[in-house]
Amino acid sequence: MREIFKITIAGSLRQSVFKIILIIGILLFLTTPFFASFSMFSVSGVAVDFTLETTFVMGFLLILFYGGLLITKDMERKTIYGVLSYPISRTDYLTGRFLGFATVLFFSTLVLGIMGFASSYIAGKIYPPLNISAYHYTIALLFIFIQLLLLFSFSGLFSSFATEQYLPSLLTVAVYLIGTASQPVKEFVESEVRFHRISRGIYLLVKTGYYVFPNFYWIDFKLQASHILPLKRANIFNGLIYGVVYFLVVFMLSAVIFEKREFQ
Amino acid sequence: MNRGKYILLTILILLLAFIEKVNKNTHSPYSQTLPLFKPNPEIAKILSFGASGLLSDIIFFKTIVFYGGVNYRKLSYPELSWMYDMLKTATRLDPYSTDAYFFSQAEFTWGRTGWVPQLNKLLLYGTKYNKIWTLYYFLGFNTFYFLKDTADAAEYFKKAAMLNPKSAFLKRITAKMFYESGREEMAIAYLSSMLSATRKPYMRKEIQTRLTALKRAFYLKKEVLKFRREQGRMPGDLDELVKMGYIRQIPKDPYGGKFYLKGNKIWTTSNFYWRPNANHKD
Repeated sequence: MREIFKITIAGSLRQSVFKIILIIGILLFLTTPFFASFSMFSVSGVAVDFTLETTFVMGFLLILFYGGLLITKDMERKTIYGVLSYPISRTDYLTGRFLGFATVLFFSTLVLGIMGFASSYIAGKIYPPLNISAYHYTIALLFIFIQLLLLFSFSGLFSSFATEQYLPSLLTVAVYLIGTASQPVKEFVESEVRFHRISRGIYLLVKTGYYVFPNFYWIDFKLQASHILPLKRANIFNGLIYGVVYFLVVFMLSAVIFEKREFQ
Repeated sequence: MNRGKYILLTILILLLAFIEKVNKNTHSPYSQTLPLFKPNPEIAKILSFGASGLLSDIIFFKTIVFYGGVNYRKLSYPELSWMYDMLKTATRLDPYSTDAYFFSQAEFTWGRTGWVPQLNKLLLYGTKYNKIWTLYYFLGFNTFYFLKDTADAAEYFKKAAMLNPKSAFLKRITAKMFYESGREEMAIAYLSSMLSATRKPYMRKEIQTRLTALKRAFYLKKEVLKFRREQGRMPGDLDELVKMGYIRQIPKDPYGGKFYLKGNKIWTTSNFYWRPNANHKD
């Protein structure tokens, strides 16, 4: 497992992934004050919105175009046969790949988070008032990392049975879209069903999707960070439990499917 | 190989020259005409896909870019309606968006008093989430000054004062409101507070111009009242104030209009809006 972890990190270095993250970080640092200066009364708030969202999008792109393709690429290039011929279980291989790419995601979130916070701070200093809280920003970053881990676990799940290289990434996008839209869609459908403007069948379908797919609203603290809203400990705790448990369930499911998969 | 490089360089230079030429002759329709995109708050909420804060900022920026392109003229009803919907969507996506509330307050008031009930709805929505005194202050001011409802306004001002108990300014303005004395004075105090909170140059210019116009109108009103007190009658027009030595000259309306007397009130032909050929520097 340790070897697979090292190979994943080495592969990321070879592919210049870390360099790309640093370049994006510098660009983020430079562009934030300009973007946020459009705001009239809340420059630091807009800067926080912008930097946190960029940090998330960067991580998501890494999953879609790099992390999510690691396993399917190994299968397509047949390198997986070589790896699995060593005395290493399939779960170890999967765990090594997961931990390796999770480290890349952590590095990306950390670097972009530090750059983003610094540039938001500067933007707030240039255009007062400076309304920014390191504590809120850190909590928002932590949950961005959890969201990314969750998405990556889904990418791993789809990789464990996919036969096409890009299918896991496409399905991960679908999970993200459903997971972020499920809360407002549920609220909308609930208000409509009250006035009998929507059928009971659609309502049940939406409700099922709401419970089956991950709800990203519960593990999203970006708005709280940009407006420095009170952070309830219970919400943070519940979010952490929800994110981590969901991640473990999806990861274990991927391991079970991957163990049973037959390679041609 | 070298020849190829020169050809490529020449093509690039020609392309740049072409772009520059086209750029000079093109007046971007983007900021001048009403965008076709009309937001729906519910749909926008769903389609924000977790980025509601950033989408709210972008919708707000799109609104001020449009406004910046057309603010030299009077906006049409569809344009104002579009702006209102955009700002409403921005606040539904991010109920804490102070930018959207403050900008709405600045734009849907003078000369657009028909929009004040809608504006108040937007501000009331904001008070559900934001415990800041300014939203209640705006509500109080709009209700008192534009809707002329003293009872409701008093309630809003009371809430604003409760959220900002240290403000002597709020106490003063509330007292004035309760006595219903000097709506102009209250408007001047309100605009001065808006001016000190605004950073954007074009917004500052807009508020500063309105403040100047109101100060001049208020100055004229005071002189008319003085005339009535001393002469026992109202002046026929503002020129009579000049003839009788109350004022040296009728001040200019910074919007390019002309002040006149109607009843015991001071009006202006510009209705506090830029006239098409007005000198903005005035």
